[in-house]
Amino acid sequence: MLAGLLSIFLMVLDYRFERVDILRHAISSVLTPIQWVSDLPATMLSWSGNTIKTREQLADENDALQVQIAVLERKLQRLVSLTAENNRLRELLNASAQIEDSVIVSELIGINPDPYIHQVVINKGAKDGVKVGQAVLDAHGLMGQIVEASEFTSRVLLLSDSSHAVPVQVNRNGVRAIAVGKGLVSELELANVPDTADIIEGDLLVSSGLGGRFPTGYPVATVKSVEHDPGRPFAKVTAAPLAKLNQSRLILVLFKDEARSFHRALADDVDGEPSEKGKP
Amino acid sequence: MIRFNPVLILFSLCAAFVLSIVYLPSQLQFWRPDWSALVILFWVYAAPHRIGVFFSWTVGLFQDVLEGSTLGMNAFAYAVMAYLLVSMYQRFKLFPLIQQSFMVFMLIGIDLMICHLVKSVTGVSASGFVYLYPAITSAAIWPFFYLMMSNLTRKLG
Repeated sequence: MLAGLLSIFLMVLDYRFERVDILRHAISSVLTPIQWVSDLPATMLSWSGNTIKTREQLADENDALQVQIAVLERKLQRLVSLTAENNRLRELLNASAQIEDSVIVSELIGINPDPYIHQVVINKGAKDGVKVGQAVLDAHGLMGQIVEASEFTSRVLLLSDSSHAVPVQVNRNGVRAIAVGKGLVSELELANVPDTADIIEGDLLVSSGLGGRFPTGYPVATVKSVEHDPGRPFAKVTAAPLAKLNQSRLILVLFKDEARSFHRALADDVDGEPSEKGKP
Repeated sequence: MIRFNPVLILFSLCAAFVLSIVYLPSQLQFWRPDWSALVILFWVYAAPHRIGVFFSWTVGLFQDVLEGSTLGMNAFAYAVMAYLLVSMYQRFKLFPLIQQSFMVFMLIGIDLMICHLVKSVTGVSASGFVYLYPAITSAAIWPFFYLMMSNLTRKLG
């Protein structure tokens, strides 16, 4: 009876007022070894995969990666000058300058056991400066956001969760929309798009930065299908997320505030796309 | 007679926690047995005077944090489940294993229904009876789980 009352009290506190975060934080820190052990099979698998590889395979892989680095470095060279030029032009327009984002690289160590909730657990937490609300990327695009940060791990809500939405714009022409998760890994839906909106199949959707939670300009999804049904008030637009939501193991947590030192940003991988503070 | 063994309780709980969040292929995800519930049921069955509602409540709280669900959801469900078993463990002990696993199906089914109710109130809902699949697998595993655990307690205790 007492246990029942206590748990109903807890549930209401958690759901309505978010007052029990300290308790959750404490238990979560205690449970970190369990998270770590549950990831052991995957870690062992990738470790043995790396160890059993032959010398030739490793050399080949190394060559391929060298080529890839060269290609990316070339792009980065252009990017530095372009960013500088962009900032100069923005100065001319009296707009505020863009700042570089920094990231920390983290690894996926767990997946929410409930198949209806799209959440993953990563191995960086409050100790590394991770805070609730930060955007999370993988190598291909936006993945989601941090919803819970404990001492050593944190929990990421993915784009595809049915309770997640991200403000986006079409890269081609700037049409704004909101991409809502549907509970399917490979599909997002654009909510309330007017029938006349200029969105076509194959359009790239980038984050628009409206709402202030996600930074501007990161690729989110490509439009998969656009259906115009005269019987419905809005067009039905579905999009496929660019981030490999159910495959990526290396996950980047984005810091957009300048609180972190620039050295740290250099030491980690400096990410290209700058964030935007205020529009002209 | 199964003896009360705190070390083994802790060990079985840790194993259950790991098993309940370890990665499974997506087809099997819906069928993941509720390991923590099985462990609770076994220990309530083994030592109903020592292990009861509050133990289960605490385990549920830990499970909530592991799953990232609303704090208190699993705690409440496990507490109810443990209460039901405590109130009828004398009959439960006399049942043959098959009948016991049917009771386990009912108990874990109730636990899952409570969780489902809380989830649908707080926004994450799923349609159909898919959410009851873990009760079926848990019940199917119960006889083997019971034999394994009672052997372990006998060997170590």
